[in-house]
Amino acid sequence: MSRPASFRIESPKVVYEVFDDEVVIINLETGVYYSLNGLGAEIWTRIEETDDVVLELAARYQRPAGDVEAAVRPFLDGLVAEGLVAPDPRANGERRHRTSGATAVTRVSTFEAPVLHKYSDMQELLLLDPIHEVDEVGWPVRPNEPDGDGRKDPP
Amino acid sequence: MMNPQRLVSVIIPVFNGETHLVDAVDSIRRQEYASVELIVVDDGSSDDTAGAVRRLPQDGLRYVYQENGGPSRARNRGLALAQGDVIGFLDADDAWPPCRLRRQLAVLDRESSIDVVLGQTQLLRPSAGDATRSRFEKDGPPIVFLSPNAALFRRRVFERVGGFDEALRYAEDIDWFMRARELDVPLAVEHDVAWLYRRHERNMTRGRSMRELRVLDVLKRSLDRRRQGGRGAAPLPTLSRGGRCGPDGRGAGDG
Repeated sequence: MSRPASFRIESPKVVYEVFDDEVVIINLETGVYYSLNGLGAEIWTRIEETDDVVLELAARYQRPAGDVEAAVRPFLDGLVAEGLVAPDPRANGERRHRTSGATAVTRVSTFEAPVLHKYSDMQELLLLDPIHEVDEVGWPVRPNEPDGDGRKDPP
Repeated sequence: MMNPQRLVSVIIPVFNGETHLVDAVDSIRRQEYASVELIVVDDGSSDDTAGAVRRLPQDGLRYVYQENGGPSRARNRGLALAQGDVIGFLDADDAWPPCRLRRQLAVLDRESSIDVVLGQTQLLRPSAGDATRSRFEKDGPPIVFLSPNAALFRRRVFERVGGFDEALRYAEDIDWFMRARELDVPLAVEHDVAWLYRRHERNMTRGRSMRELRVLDVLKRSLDRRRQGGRGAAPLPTLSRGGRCGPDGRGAGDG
C-alpha cells in the first residue's frame, strides 16, 4: 500500500502537545522533536479521526484531490518515515478514539503545503528513559496542588 | 594545576528530605575538596529537615528556610547566597559519586572558555528484595540528563542566562539548559558519572508523566524564543565533547 489514507499516532513512543498555533511532538525513541504549524498542525490534530486525509482536505478546502495529494503526500510520508504515525487501514466510517484530549488547532484559512520541522539538537537528551517514566522525582508537590493547566494524563 | 583555594558553593534544595539529606551532604563532604560552602535551602519542609541539618557538622554549612516555592525558587535563593565562583547543585535525596567535584573542577581549570561541565547521570532504583527501600542499585547505563545536579557551573553563567524559571515546577532544569544553549553558552559534556539519581518507586508513573508534558512546554517556549525576529527556529549549538578528564577519565593533575 503505497498511498495510505488513514493513520494512527505511534503512542506511547510519540508524545505531543497541541498549543494555540503549533503542535510540538517528541519521538521518545530517537529524542528528535518536531514542530507543526498551519495545515500541518491541523492535519495532526485530526489524523486519527480521518478516514482519508487527502479526500477530507480536498472537500474542506474545495480543491482537486490530485492537488491536495501532491501537496500533502510528502508531509504524510515524512510523518511515517520519522516514526510519528503509522498507516492504519480501517473500515469505512470506523473512527479511532483520540489518544489525547488535545483541543484542535483552529482551521487554517489558506491551503499551504504542510511542513514537518525537525529538530535533532536534543537527540541525546529527550530519550525514552528517564523522561517517560519519572514523575516528580526528588520534589514532591504540595498536596492538592492543582496541576497547573488542567491537563490530565491519559490512561 | 588546580587552584586549591577556589571556593565552590553547593546548593542543596530540600523539601521534606530529612531521610536522605545526611547522605547527600556526606557525598559532598567525601569529595576530598576542602573549600566547599554548603547551602541548604529548606523549601518549607514540614518534617524534621531543620533538625537533620542541625545534627550535621556545621563547618561551611549554611541553612536557610523559605516558604514552599518549588525547586526553582529554592535554587535561585541558593544562588543569591552563594559566595563561590563555582556553583554545584544536589537534590537532597541524591548523591555525587566520589571524585566528581575535583574532576569537573579540573575541566573548568583547564578549559577557561567552558562555563558548564555536564556529567553523566546514573539512575538508581531500590534494590530488589530490600524491604526497607533504603538500598539502591544501578538502573541501566549512565545517560546524559539536563539537570543542574549533574553539572558544575561558573557563577558568571547565571548572570548571562539568569536563574531557574520560578513559574515552572517541572522541567525547569531542562528549560535552563535550553536557554543556555540558545545563548551558545560553552558547555562540555563528560563521559563520567556526576550524579547518582535515586528513583523512588512511589515517584514512578505509567504513561505520560507531568514531566513529559512540561518538557513539551519547555520545547515550545524555546522554539518561540528562537523564532523571535520572524525567522525559523535555528537548531541549537552542538554540545561540546571535550570534557573527558585525562586518559583514565579522572581529573588530570588533581592528585
